[in-house]
Amino acid sequence: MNTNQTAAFAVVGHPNKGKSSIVSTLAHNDNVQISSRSGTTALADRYRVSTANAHYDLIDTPGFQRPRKVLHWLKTHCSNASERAATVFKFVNDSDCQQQFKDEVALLRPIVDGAAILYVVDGSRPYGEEYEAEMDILRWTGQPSMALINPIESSDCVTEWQNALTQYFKSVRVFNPMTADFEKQLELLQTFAHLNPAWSESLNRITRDLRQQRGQQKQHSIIILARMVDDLCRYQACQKLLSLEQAKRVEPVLARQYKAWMKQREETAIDELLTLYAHSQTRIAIEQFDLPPDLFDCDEWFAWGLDKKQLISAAALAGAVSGAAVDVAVAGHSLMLGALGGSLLGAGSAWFGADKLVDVKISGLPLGGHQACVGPIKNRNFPYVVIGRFLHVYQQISALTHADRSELTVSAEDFKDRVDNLEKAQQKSLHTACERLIKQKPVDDLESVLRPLFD
Amino acid sequence: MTAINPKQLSLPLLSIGFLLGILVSFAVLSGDANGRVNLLYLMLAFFVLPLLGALISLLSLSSQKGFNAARLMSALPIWSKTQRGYLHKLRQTHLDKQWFFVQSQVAAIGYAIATLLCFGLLLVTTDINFVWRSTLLSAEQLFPLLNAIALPWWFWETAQPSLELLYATQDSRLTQSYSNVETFGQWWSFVFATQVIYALLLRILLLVGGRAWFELRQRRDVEYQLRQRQAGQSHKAPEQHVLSPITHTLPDKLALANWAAFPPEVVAQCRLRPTTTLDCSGHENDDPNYSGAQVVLLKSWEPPMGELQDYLEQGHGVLFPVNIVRGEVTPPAPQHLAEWRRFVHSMPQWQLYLPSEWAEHNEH
Repeated sequence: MNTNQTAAFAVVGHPNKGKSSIVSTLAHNDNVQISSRSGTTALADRYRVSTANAHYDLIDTPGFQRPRKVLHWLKTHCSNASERAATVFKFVNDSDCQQQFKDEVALLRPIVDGAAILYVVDGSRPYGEEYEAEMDILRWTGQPSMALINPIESSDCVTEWQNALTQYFKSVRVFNPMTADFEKQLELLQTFAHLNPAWSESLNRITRDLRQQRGQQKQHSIIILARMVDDLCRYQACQKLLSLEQAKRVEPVLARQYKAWMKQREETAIDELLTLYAHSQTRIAIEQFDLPPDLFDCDEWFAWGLDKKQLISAAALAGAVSGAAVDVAVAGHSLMLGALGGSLLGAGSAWFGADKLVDVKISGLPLGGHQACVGPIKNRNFPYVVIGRFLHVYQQISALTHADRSELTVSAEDFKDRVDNLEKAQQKSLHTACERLIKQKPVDDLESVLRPLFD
Repeated sequence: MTAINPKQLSLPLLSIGFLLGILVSFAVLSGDANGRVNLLYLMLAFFVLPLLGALISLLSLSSQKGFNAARLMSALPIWSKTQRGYLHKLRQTHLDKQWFFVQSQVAAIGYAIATLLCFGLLLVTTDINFVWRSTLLSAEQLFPLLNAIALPWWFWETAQPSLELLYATQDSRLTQSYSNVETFGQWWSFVFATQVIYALLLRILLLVGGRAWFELRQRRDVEYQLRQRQAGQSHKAPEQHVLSPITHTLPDKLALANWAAFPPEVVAQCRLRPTTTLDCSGHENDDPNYSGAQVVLLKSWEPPMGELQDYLEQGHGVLFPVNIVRGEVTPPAPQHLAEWRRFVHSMPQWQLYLPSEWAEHNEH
């Protein structure tokens, strides 16, 4: 047997018990082929998980197809226990076996080459005697091993499996690749370190790197949001025309263009977020996200942005900040009426403008002709709606495992709570930034303002 | 999102620099009625101004926003909505400082080209007489400075300043007697070299360096990196499988092969009434001699494996996958049934059997 310097884990087991899903989740790679059809993995596929300072290999293997026959072969070619590992080596390199037991040869080869074993079973279905041949074969290899119980449909039979597996494996873990969050994934990775002490240092480095990478992904998500909300609040679709009639006629076309651009911009940000979290295959399912159907559906706005009460206090707070600036400018001679007036003005306009959406303006041009313009949206709630929707998608994508490529759902109520739970100073910064965005004024370091919403 | 060729912005900046260069050149090179131009003015326009500009440009990099000529020009109300959009995108991506630095060099190159063209044109078409005048400076004081300026072209002998030339070309508006007229034209090579080195080459170097830095920063930007990653991604086509039909009738005479090794009470619930029972443990000793129809009882949740396939290749009949819930036989889950239907499709001598009362369940 070889002992590799690079940590390597062969994920083995019965067909269709979630081996590829485990590899996909741990490798953070949704290009690993996962199918409901058994035998999808015909050859052992090696996936290298590389971080800044280390790497390890996960090997997705074909499932056992003829374990009882293979065990029979091994037994007939081995006289005593000391020869077992060598017999497995002989089996893998025997040309007849390579023809007759293609799958077993493919799955045992990386183990013979030094990979540790991760044996996967389905914890939702009862234990069966037919699995014993597989576990015996793995034991014959003499390689360090661990069993993972994957509760595919339920946890009904987990205890039954634990009882059986502990007789063959020193370490038995329950791991659901579809639901395991980031911390659970790291926890499992850390337990791998116990399989081979020589690998523990590199696996610890990988764990540290992955944590750091996770922080970077969050930071990049904030950048994506900051740029998107800035673009959406600023965008204006305009067209120059010769006459006022033409300008009026073009209004609906411009409005459609405007909405299409805004929708496209939001989708681009979601696409970027998916790419950031390496979900390349989920891209096709953007329509399936639990998002309101239309960014311009005003009725949905209070579900996604702030409610009227929050909006009024936000506007009052932002208004007070600008009013306070007036007070500072006149060195307090306004008896702080600036802050009070700004606050009242802000609150009033938030109330009256809460249902106002997008303006269409037609203006005459100095050199003749007219210009029709749609947008930007002046509604105070708009930046909050955009931020709320993005946060919602962010929560889904960052928690999505790479094995799970199904429809995603998260509550839309989170955003309001998040805003309410911010510290007063953070709330003030957010409301001031949103106020500036809606007025198409530049916001310095918008990313820092948005960061607390991601914590 | 802003689709604009950055060159559309560089060109106006280059033009502004070029126009400024022409204006300055004509101002300092036109001279008086006798074609006399003050060498010190030329040094101001072709050495001090470009060098100072380059220094300000470099210093702007250390300031937070990067205050330089191009940023000043961007504040002019000459830019279209698309161009302003591009500038906004640069600010958003925190690349504006580097971009404005690069554009400052572009504008300065425009300035340098204009001054060189003007200078060349006037050298060819008129007699420029280089003189220098100063109340405070003497030739001895000026010489080391000019010598230092000329260091970069040490190899070009005729473009080097000399003390004799300085003495010979010192001018006073009160004494206007010129003995050797040709001497006054000798400064042209020095002035030309000053323009090439300090106005043009220096800015070209800064442009190349600034551009490399801008591109590096651009490549490090998260949006750029994500776009690169997206370009390398491929989407997998959805899987398509052919499914076998399901039969609800069993042959009259059939042997039971309990491949799933179900206990007798489970087998009894299947209501199969076989004529015989076969041994099918998956070992080499499975009975290969039976040639009649079989019903093979299977665990629906376990996928078909090679051992089963080996066994099935020896016979014919129906496969009967069943699910077990708390000891009760139930219809297979749809995803498991689909797996068996795909498998049976590849085995022409076998059919998939389900009792007719389960048909409705599977339709759902």
